[in-house]
Amino acid sequence: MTGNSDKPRNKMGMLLKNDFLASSRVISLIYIVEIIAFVFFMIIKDRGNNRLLALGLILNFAIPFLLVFVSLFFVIYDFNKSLYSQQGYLTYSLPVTAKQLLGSKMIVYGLWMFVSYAVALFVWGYLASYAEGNENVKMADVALTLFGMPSIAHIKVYLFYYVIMFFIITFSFISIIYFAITASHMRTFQNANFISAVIIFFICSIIMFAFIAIVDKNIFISFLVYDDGPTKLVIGKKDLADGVSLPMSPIFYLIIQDIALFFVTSAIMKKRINIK
Amino acid sequence: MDINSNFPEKTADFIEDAPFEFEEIKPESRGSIISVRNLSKSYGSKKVLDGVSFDLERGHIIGLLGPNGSGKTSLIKIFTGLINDYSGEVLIDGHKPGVITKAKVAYLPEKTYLASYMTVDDSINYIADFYDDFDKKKAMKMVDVFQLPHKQKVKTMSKGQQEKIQLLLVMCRNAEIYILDEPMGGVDPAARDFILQAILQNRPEGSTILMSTHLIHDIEPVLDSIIMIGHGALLKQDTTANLTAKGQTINEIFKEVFRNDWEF
Repeated sequence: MTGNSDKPRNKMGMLLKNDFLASSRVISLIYIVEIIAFVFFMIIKDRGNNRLLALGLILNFAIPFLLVFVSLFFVIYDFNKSLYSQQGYLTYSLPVTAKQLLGSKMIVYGLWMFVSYAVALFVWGYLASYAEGNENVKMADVALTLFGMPSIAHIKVYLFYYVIMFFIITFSFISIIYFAITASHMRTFQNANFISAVIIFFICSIIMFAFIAIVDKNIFISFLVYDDGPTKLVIGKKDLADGVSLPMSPIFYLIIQDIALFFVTSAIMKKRINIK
Repeated sequence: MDINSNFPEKTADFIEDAPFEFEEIKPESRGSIISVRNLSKSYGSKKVLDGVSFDLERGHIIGLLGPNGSGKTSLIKIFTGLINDYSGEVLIDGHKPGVITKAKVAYLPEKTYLASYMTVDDSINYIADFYDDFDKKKAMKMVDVFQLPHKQKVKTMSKGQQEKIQLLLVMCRNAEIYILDEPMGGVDPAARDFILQAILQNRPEGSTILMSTHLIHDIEPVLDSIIMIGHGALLKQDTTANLTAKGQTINEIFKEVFRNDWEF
């Protein structure tokens, strides 16, 4: 307790710590495997042993898939297990709010997902550039092709934009997963919660993509980055000859959607869930 | 006989048919650690608690008694903040169930609730992270006293060992209220005695213990008061001294109150 107040200390830091520790026990093992595979590839790539080279290429192509898959699996598994299995008796009786419980899991697993994507893209990008012949020069070209960037001059701006976009989409994806799992544990769906969660997830995803398409087509908000430095947020579409025009309305829509889902999910967690 | 007119027909019939008289229960709010007013909770069309009101006195060891499905666990879940969709008012030490009360209440659920990856030490560190009143040194000592392996995963332990670690995590808190849901359920008589002694020896002075159980005979000697619920209603609440003054045991009174439930 703090001073004379009845209010307990904020335990968000402890939630983050324990969610990270719980998830890292398994996820970090896959990262260690990927590091070993990548180091192996770096050692054997110039040795002229084609069998080892092929093995290195296959491992470094396959393990990032595993990385993303394991991270995604844990996003779902840990959330469901820690909140809606018998472990929920422990989790829900902690002196924290439903928003903190949800927020901690979103932050920890959002970051794991994001890092897994980033590592996968880096490794695959490196393999692609290696296959092209000279990884030091071709990495930039691979990135240009991968992200559809028009020129080297704008690579930083586009890279930053796509990283932010990717980050937000990752959180949106997790928001929908967590909403679907939580809603499926309401009394109405409790007898068929797995199927309910899948159906709710797909309905929410379809709605999300439909809204993104509508927003992208009808509401134009652009972020202008001029080559000589200044930036500007404008309503409407604008093509720039001396800079980059980035569409912002899908990003704003996703942020609003994520905030709405966060509040709805935490309200369901607080008011409508009965741990069995 | 005073029967709440809001009772559903089934409850009213039960009370009418009961082979004893119901006392009028007047909630007293002075000195109460838990205060309940007109509490109702339904699951779909099934009402498990129907306008229940009572107060639990601070510092007492209270037995929460009732047959299966009588609403004991629902009541406990409301007190511990696990159920929030109810009507009526519940106050734990003057606060609605929430973050503040969760920090005051040490809760032992009926189920095994520790994460599958947790060892004994992990579970102690976890609880220590979240509860400022948790005595980690005492917990580490109790692990040795209970002869529990520090590094073994809880999920690989025997039922008895799991009961011990969960009990240890609860009783090493210096909490104001201990809410124990069937703490002796599913263990042998020797283990039951061990659990009860562990609860009594580690309970901080002045703390309140609310214990739900079917094993009335085992806990009867340590209870200060009891509360019996059934058919959505509060059926009996009094001190054990008053209830047993006429020579009846709590076990006998329980059988008398719920006899109708098991008659052919």
